[in-house]
Amino acid sequence: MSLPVSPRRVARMAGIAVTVTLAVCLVAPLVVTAAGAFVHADWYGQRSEGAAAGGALGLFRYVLGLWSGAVVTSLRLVGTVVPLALFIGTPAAFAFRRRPFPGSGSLETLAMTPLAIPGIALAVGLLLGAGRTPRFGLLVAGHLAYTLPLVLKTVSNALEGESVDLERAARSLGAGPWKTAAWVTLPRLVPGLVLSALLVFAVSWGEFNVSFLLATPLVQTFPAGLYLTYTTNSFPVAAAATLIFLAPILPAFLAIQALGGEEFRRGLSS
Amino acid sequence: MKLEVRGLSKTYGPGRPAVASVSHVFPEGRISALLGPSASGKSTTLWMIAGLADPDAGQVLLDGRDVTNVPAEKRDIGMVFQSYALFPHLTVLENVAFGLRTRGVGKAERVARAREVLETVRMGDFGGRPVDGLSGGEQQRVALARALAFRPRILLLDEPLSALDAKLREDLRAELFSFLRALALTTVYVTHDQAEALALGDELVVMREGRIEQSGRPAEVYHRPASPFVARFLGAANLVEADVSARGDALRLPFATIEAPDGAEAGLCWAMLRPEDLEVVGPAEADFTAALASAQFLGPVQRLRVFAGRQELLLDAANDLAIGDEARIPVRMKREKIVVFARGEGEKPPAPFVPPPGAAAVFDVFPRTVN
Amino acid sequence: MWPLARLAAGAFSSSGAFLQVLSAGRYRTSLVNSLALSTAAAFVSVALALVPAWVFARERFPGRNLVRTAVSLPLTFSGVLVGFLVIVMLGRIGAVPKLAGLVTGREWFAGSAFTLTGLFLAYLYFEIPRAVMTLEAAFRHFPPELDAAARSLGAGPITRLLRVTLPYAAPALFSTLAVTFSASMGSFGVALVLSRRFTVAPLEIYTELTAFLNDAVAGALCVALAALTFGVDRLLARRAA
Repeated sequence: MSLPVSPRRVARMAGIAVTVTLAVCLVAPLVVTAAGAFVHADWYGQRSEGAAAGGALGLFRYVLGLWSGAVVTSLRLVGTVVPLALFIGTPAAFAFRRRPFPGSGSLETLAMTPLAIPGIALAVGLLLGAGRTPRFGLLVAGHLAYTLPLVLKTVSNALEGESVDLERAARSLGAGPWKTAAWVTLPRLVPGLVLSALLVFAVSWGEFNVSFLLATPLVQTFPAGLYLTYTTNSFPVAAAATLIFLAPILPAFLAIQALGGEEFRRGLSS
Repeated sequence: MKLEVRGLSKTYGPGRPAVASVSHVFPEGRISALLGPSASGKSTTLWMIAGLADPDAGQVLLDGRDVTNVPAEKRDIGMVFQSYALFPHLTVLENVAFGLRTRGVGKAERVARAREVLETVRMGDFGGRPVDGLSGGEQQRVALARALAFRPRILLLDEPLSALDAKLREDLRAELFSFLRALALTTVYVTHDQAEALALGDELVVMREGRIEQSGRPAEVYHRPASPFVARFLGAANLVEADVSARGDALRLPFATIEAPDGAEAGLCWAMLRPEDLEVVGPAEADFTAALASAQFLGPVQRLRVFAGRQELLLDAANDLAIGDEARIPVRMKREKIVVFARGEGEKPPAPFVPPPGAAAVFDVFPRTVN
Repeated sequence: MWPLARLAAGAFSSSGAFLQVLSAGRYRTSLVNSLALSTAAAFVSVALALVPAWVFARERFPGRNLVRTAVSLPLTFSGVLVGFLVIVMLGRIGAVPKLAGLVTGREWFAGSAFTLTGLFLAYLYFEIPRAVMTLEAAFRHFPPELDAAARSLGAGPITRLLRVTLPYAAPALFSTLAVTFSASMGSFGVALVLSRRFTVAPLEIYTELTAFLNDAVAGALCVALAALTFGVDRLLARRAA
């Protein structure tokens, strides 16, 4: 009657094994890429054009030299989009949740639609709408369309988790609407806002469709540069560029994981 | 069918085991109430009997056959869950027929049998309904019907009334109890509600910190608790610091000395007296006189808080007894009801059990229903 | 939302472009390809995500957080990056063929990154993490007593999966399909990097826009793609509700 191992334990171990295998499959390409960037060329029997720079970090210096303009543009873009998305999204979410007005429901639905629409359609719409003249402002607009829904979602969730009674209590204690917002609502929202900022940062930095189609040789973004590197440069250079591209996302992602954000699964489309 | 557990143990994570070597024979065709405060291991014990939790050690035996390694789905044990766990995607009838379907009973027969069982729990008209529209009481009856439809060998109930509000719980209790009695199935009923356990059980099993503290017939456990914990857990109890004389013949209470009960060991002890074992009598019959501190009218009785010297006592007096505020009250003890427990030097009595909010009303009056 | 409105208006004003897109030919093929590839990727990734999602929702084991982080990491990757990673593994000099060469003497899978297989694997690479995370959230709400009840009623593991767990999780499965499907439909970077002969709608849009400067057709394709995505998404979302 007695079994050496219970079937349930076998199922559990099998499930964990499958999961770990999946994780390994998903991480393996990254490991190979990282190896490629540090081991330089010889692995694949090719001489890389960046090898001349020398040193363990030579490739990275080479890539940064190649794409410094694009990196700066992307940093500027992220630096503009993150505060803008928060400044627009937070009061909007507050209005939708706490002070609904006629038409606010449809407005919210409208604001969420970019998540359900292919990124390329949005990018093409922006490009053609602006008469095929890409500008920095257009890039910002495209990124905002993508990131605003994320802010709305996270802040809404945070607001829903908070009891309205806290705000009512503040009002009963003599705080006006502004003081209530500043002293009670906002401080309670800080984790949600941090999460929003990280999400917007990760999405905006990695976003490709808008960043690529609305980029010009003069206003080159890093994701667009990354693509050009993939098509023109050797593997070690491409690998190094990939690592540089990932460098800011990975810490942001780990922080998002720690804060438990689930909203980004849909927002981060490719 | 006879159900027995031997040395059943289970530990979740580090720390105190949830269940520590529990052995017990549940009498055949009877209802055993497994009673204990929260986290006393009673639910875990039940889940191990059902096969839904794996014991770290010990055995579960059905009619003497070891079923410890038989998976839950092969044990033929019906179970009613605390949350009822009705399948939300199935109708009432499909829920009840589920256990027949898993056993390959043909459609016509399983529908007929499910309907039949639904009739017995007076839910016959509900067959085609979705379960999410049912009230708590209706869900409880469907859950019971589902657990019985495949004619299990054993029936387990995990706090089946705790999800209901107090009023409904009382209404359903009597109905559920007579229904379960009529089944004459070996039944284990887990509850943290003393009134429920005392009223229902053919047998009462009191658990504490993963162990069985005492088992026996409800009246027996109530009147002859094995420990101060059981005494306090099963109802109000005065625990008086006393001692038995060296010769074992006198029980010295702070306010009176009386003949010691049979078998009392010499030395320090607790003397346990329930409030209903103290009587207000004429001065001539009194063992001692007490000063009234407060009186609480409970309906069937009035509960007096009195002081015999510095000893605080609870006392149940007749509800029509007129008592003045400053009265000196002559009190007599029902000596045959006194239970003594050995007591260590400086030992504190267990805190009086505070019943969960819903049970409070029932709790205060239940001694009348038992005696 | 004016760019979308502008897009729609532009496409409709030249109805010729629409007819061109919807009649047989390259454009319609690209839409059909997108639809087929996205549907297949959605179903396969949801199927593959079931076990890991259940494990993350239910089991505690050493290293769980690390494994979970590794599985959800690709969520942050843009399409071109995923395309590159597939080339790293399955390109003409990718890691898998190199390794296979060392072990078996023949470089299996060399260059398969640029075939339909490679494209499909790339889709899976960014869909599986999405599917796992969405399903995990749903599985976490699965009441354990429901499974216990099914066991006590005599249901074995398969019966429980088919009659209790999956029906209970059906809405979550549909919403996960919706999430993965719409992400696949909009995926552009992956195809841009990997696709050689096989064309998908986003790629076709890009070609029309940049190579042929055919704004009307590009716009019409965009509208058709958005409508398809949105339509299927709503359809699945309705079943999920």
